[in-house]
Amino acid sequence: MDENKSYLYDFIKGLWKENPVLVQLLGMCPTLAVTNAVENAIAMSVAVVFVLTASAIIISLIRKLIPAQVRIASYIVVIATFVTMADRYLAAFYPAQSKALGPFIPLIVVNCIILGRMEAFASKNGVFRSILDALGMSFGFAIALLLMSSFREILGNGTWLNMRVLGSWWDNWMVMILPPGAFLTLGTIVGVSRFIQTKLKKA
Amino acid sequence: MIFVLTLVAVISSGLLAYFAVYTQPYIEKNKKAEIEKAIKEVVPGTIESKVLKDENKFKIFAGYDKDGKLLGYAVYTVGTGFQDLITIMFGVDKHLEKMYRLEVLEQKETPGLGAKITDENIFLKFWKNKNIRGEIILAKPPKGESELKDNEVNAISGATISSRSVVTIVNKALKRVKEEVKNG
Amino acid sequence: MDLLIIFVSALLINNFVLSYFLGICPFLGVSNKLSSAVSMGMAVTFVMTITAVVTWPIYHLILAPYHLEFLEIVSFILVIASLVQFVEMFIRKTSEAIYDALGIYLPLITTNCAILGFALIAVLKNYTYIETIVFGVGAGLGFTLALVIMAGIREELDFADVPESLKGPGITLLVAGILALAFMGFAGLIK
Repeated sequence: MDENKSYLYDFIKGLWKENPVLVQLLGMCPTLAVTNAVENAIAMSVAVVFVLTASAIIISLIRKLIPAQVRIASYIVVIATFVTMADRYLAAFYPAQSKALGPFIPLIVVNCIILGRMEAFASKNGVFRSILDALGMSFGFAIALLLMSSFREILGNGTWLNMRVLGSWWDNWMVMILPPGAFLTLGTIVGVSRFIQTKLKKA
Repeated sequence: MIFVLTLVAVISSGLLAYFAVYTQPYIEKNKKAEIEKAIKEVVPGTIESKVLKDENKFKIFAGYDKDGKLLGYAVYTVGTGFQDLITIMFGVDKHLEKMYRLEVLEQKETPGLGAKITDENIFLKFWKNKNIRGEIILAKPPKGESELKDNEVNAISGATISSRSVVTIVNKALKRVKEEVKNG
Repeated sequence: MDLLIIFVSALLINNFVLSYFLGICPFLGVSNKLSSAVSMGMAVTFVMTITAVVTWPIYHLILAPYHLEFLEIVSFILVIASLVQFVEMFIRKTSEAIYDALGIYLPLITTNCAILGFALIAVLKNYTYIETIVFGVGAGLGFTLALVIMAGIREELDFADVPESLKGPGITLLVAGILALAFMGFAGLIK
């Protein structure tokens, strides 16, 4: 019973309690850059789910074969391999999204979330638990991205996933889809989530 | 230690090479399809096209109909806008007297203002069937659609700089294309 | 003229931090003190310039001619990582003063996405060798500028009464938003 509980915890901790974006403040660059539209946020999230999970599987499998000195270098090569795959796959089958995300798919390589999870979890745990951890963390990332992009697209363009949600009375809050809007939205969301977490802790 | 790292690197390169070979044709097809679609749009009736000039920021394509008759040229050009580069494709007839129409392929102008240069009803409609014996001129002040001369276009209100950038980029490209075609 | 446009554009109009969102981690992490912000900025500018010098030939003379573009990401990240190590060793051996000022920031740069991002964008934009180097210097100085302005503001913020949950990253992001708004005013600077 206890074991099941810890498996569950491996997964859900990433969603909220240790959310990589909102709590650990990792992977800020893509969070700010690709959230001007929900569509881009979803493409980015899918890519991160794939890269993080695939890298976690490989690294937890070969973790005992890699000497400590070349650990980081090997991780980076493994991660870069999966990132290149994701990048090429998008370019081949979803050219519009690939263009919109520009260099941010390749930049998943240096996303601290990925390398951080490899170092902190996948290199120390078995495959099954590493997959759960990777899925939890990447879903946590996806949740933050969806939240950000929903705010920005609805306020800035009156649409959600290109569907009109606000009537014609709505005057588009253009600044939200421009760079300043990204900082302002993330700052507010981080502040609010901290506020809720401290309230919960006290209660 | 070095051995393991080399092994990891070799396996990953092998995997990537395999994946690259698999995706390459699709990626190339996408790239080509995008340009081809734009050529067909700006030189109406084009069935086949041929590259005449292929530079980084300036390309000329010749458009032919189904009998192989030359219809006109599609010009691909890149220039500085308000914020970043603007990539434009426009089509001209084979005598270089008339511009069929213009498309904005890529731009990063301010959303809601300068980005309207991609909007058919606000901006692109002015760019149909223009007289290009001389230069394209930005109408000052903006005129009603029927009052515009055949070489005049209206600016977008609130985005004069983006509009002017497009005019400048087009005029520069027009000059080039006239020289290039004259020299064969 | 083109070079000037590239430089000013990387420095102000399309500032790496405030408009491309690259290098946000150090921007949030190292911007609490003015002196460390200056050092970090110099270190990034330095590494970025060398990255420009090295990655252009790798892509245009090795990868592209042999159709190995798919190794772009892997080779760039490995080159940047070893470059940073090498620069660190070189500085330690040659100048005690520079090492004291930049030393601890250099290892952090490997995971700074601004460096890899810069190398990838330079390839994406198809810049020539000279253009890439100018772009690198401009982008590095742009990063420094944003970081230094931010550090200046944050030193003052220490004395402000910020709501508990906004302290640290929250208020920094909000201030960055206002800074980004100000930097938007640079658009249209070059025509």
